[in-house]
Amino acid sequence: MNTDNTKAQMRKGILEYCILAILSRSSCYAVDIINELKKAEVIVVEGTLYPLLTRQKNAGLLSYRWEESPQGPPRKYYELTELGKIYLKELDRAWDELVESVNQIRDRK
Amino acid sequence: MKRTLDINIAGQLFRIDEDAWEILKNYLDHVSARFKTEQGGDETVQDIEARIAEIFGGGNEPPTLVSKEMVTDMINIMGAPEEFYDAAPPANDRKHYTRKSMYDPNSLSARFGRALSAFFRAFGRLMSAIIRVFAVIFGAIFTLTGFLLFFTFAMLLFFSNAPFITSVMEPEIINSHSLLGIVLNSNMVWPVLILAALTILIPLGALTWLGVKLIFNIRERFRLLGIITFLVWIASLCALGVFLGLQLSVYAERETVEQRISLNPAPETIWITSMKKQADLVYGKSASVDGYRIFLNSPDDRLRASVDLNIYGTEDSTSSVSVERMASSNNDSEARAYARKIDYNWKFSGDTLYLDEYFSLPAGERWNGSMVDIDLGLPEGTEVRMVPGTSPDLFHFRVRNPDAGAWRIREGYLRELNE
Repeated sequence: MNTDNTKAQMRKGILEYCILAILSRSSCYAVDIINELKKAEVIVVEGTLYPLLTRQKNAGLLSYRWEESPQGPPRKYYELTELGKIYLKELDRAWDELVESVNQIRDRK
Repeated sequence: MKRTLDINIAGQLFRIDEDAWEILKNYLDHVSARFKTEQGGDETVQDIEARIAEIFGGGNEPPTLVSKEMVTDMINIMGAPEEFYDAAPPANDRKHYTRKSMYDPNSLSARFGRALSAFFRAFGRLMSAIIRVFAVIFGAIFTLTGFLLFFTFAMLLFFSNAPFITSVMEPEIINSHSLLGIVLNSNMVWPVLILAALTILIPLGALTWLGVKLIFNIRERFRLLGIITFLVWIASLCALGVFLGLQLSVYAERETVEQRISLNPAPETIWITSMKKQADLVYGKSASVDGYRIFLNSPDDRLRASVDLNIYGTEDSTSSVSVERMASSNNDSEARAYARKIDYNWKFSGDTLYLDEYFSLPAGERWNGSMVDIDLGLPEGTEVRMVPGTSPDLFHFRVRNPDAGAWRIREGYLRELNE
């Protein structure tokens, strides 16, 4: 049985959480976020990120500022809002609980 | 030949091959259709287009030419819309929206815009070419003139004794090097000339290089060299200023020592004759400026120079001879001492004024702006005659016709007898 689809679904589930986690360290340009997600093999193509960023911004979790770019159009630098920080803390807790639950189930004899 | 189109992606201008445009347009239509129904979908599409513009290298002048391969690479990076996994419903579950492109290459407005763009591009290129041609012509004229003047001056300094130079140039110009050696300390002539050359040539070279860069659109790649050259120029300018300041400060103060006798009664005719003659001098070389001659390298190491005779009419009936010895230094007492040390002999006996044709400085003493002026003031009607064999030229005596030999004071001025 091919596990790719399952893995993709798992990645899809944690993608928004990963974006918030990256932005909790510092404000980032979309390509910086993409590079980190690609490095962790969470996404493969860049186009995935943009609708998620828009959605999180519209949900009040992110805000952005414009900065001039040496190449191409001006860039949006995203950062967490206060709501985004609270939301991330809840996701942190939920993730820990999820990992613990999965581990409990997986490790039960 | 491939047809190209000019397109705008996220406010950036690109030139794109027609086949590449077909793929890109299709991709953008798909992306647009994928997000059109979502809240904030337009913003997502704008963000994706901005990223595409960045991948294509937007902001370049002239605009980047986007090929089919570049579009394919971009799609590999961005991914196809159906690969974007998120919480939104899949694209194929929704009504298919076709995004109307902002740019239709076949529309009338697009064709008109392209024609207008081509016209202004051609006009711009034509004007640019014309301006560059003028810049080349005028730049070449001014640069060549500047270098020509400089190198002519350099040739005169280096090859002042060459037969060709002496045959075509005025003696005053040819002996510039000797004059510099007299006015400045002789050891300082070459350092001053080298510093002057650097001070003049570096800006001239920099201007030439700037012109070449502007004309041929060369990007600067020698920033460090430019900084070093600028520092060398500043150092040369400062050193030249210091050297010249020190050298020329010895001419700051000028003092005159005068001997004067009155001629009472003034003879009706005054004769002028030479005692010591320039023709009898033994010297290594001479330099001259406007008839004023300086004789150098004599066996007794004494510098000699010609004197200046001036004859004028007095307003009353008085007459006098005044001999002024002048010298300069950086203080007046020293300048006066130098003036007193000038060796010059003259006398007035009967109706004849006896004058040396030159004065001498003490052995080994350099020229200190040393000069001797002889002023002969005579009443109206007095005749002035040169003793045969005496040339007024040698006294730097300026009259309209030096060969006339006889003059008279008339209306306050010295005029030829038959004038």
